[in-house]
Amino acid sequence: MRRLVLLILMVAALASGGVACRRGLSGSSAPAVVVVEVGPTQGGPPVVGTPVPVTVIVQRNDGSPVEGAKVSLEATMTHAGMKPVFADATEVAPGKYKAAVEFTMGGDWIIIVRVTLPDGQTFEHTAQVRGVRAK
Amino acid sequence: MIGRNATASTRRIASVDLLDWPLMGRFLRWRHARAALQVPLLLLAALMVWDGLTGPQLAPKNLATTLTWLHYRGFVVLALLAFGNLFCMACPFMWPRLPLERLVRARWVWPARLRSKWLGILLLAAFLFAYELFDLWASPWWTAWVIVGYFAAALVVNLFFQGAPFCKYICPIGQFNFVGSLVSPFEVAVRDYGTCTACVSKACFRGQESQRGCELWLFQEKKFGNMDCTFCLDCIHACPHDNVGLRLRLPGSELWENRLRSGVGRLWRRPDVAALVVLFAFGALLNAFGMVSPVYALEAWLARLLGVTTEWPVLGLIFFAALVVEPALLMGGAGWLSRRLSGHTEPLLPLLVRYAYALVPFGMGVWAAHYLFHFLSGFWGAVPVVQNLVWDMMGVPLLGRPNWGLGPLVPLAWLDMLEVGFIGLGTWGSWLVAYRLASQDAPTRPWRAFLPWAALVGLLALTALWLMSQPMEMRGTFLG
Repeated sequence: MRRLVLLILMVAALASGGVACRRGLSGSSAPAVVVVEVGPTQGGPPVVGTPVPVTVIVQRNDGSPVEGAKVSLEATMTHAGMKPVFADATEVAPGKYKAAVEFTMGGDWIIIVRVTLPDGQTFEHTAQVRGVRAK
Repeated sequence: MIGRNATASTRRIASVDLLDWPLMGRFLRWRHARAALQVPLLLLAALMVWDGLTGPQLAPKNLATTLTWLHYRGFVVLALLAFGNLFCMACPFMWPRLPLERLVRARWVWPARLRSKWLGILLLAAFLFAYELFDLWASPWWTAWVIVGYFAAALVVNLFFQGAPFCKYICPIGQFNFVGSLVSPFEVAVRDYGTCTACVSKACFRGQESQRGCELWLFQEKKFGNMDCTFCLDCIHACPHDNVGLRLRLPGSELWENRLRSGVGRLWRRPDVAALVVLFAFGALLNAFGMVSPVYALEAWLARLLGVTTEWPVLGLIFFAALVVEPALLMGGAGWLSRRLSGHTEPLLPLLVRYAYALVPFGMGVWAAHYLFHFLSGFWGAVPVVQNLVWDMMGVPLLGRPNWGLGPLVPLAWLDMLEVGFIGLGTWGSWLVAYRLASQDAPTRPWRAFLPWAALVGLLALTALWLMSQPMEMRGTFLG
């Protein structure tokens, strides 16, 4: 019985160790600051089937705009298995990039912004879009 | 063609037995067949837990959420429809017990009061409730902990209690599979009853030196149908006469039979099993309702009415209405009308218990339509998740860079037809079972006994079709 308890404790320790070591989190070490604005939309949250403007502002840590970056968007639902939507953003002003995203389903969405800086560094930033309305 | 052996067990279609098939039969007879299915699933589950706890916390990017809520559920319904209780057979939760049994001997007997489906019903309803309340589909972390919790519960209960009470009385997935397998085409069944009569060892039940017998307390000679059978193959391996097979039968034919079943009793005297079936059927509609736009309008309206801003009381009310009030009113009404029209004098409750089993095909049709929609529309979504995981682990994209645009297995335009097809098939099956029951109740005027139940199933089918026609909406918060 003692050996069993020891085994269970070891498994629990391994599991908690796994929790402590998170993979795939890059936000804190991102080489630039990203701000995502969704809209404007007409009267409330985005609606399925209507293209919504998405503005991405990319700044260095000192606040200066990052010009000439490559910015692409992936809008995906919080439920696995739903078809994501992709869009490339174009620079409309220094450090300001715009794209249009057409949500295909009602509900909560995540916009993943993939940025490639002029020096080749790449990173991701995520933003939530809650409560997209079905038509 | 219906075989002549129909009275011995469920109705046979010809005499197909998977154990007679060249490769399949050889594999299933192999003593380690179950472990060969369990170990890969166990490793996969470990990987899912690890990714769920440590990987990206976006459901479509994580193995825990993708494989659990898309692939696992899709494969479960496919397996139930095409074969039988394959996922209990391959259940990875059970395998870790085997090495631990050397350390701990099961001493306790599962309490007599808990030897029913009521606890399993509560847990299955609680699981469906938690799925909506905590948005388990959106959380890799919580999904991983659900898997871990499942492992721990299965391990502890089945390790310390004799038999496999976790499987028989507790496991919500198992209860789902037991009900679903009532319409499966295959059944673990005796090949020749004469051989059983002459057998003195009864090893299929008692086990033998190196092989355990049935842990679910199903004695093959008296076993009938798929209820409580995990397809674990123990009886097949234990039988010294090679007299237990995996036999083809008419799907659903056990639903209108009231034969005494070993380890189960008579289904018509099991209100707990009937309640499980009701939960299975009405829960299918409720689970689908949780994914469409009108649910949020209803929740917001109820929240205003109750003056609350938290989800659980609103969701609790919807669950109570959909799983208790609605079945009680609809089934009570159909039963009362059926009894009145046919002139039957039987009390209402036994009649309701009997006809509840007619809802199994309909429930299975709705679950299949729902789960296969997600399964087929997001099937290839696992590929970039695995590519990303390998890239993350190895530091280089060994399997290529993830293509997040991958998704459907079939054109999306097919899915509507597929959903309608499964709902239609389930509805037709439920009508068939209800008519068979009505024919037994009122042999001279079966239509009178049947029509109220036909109307009930028809109403449920229209509800299911309406749900499938609604725009999908997946939100984490109902007031958001």
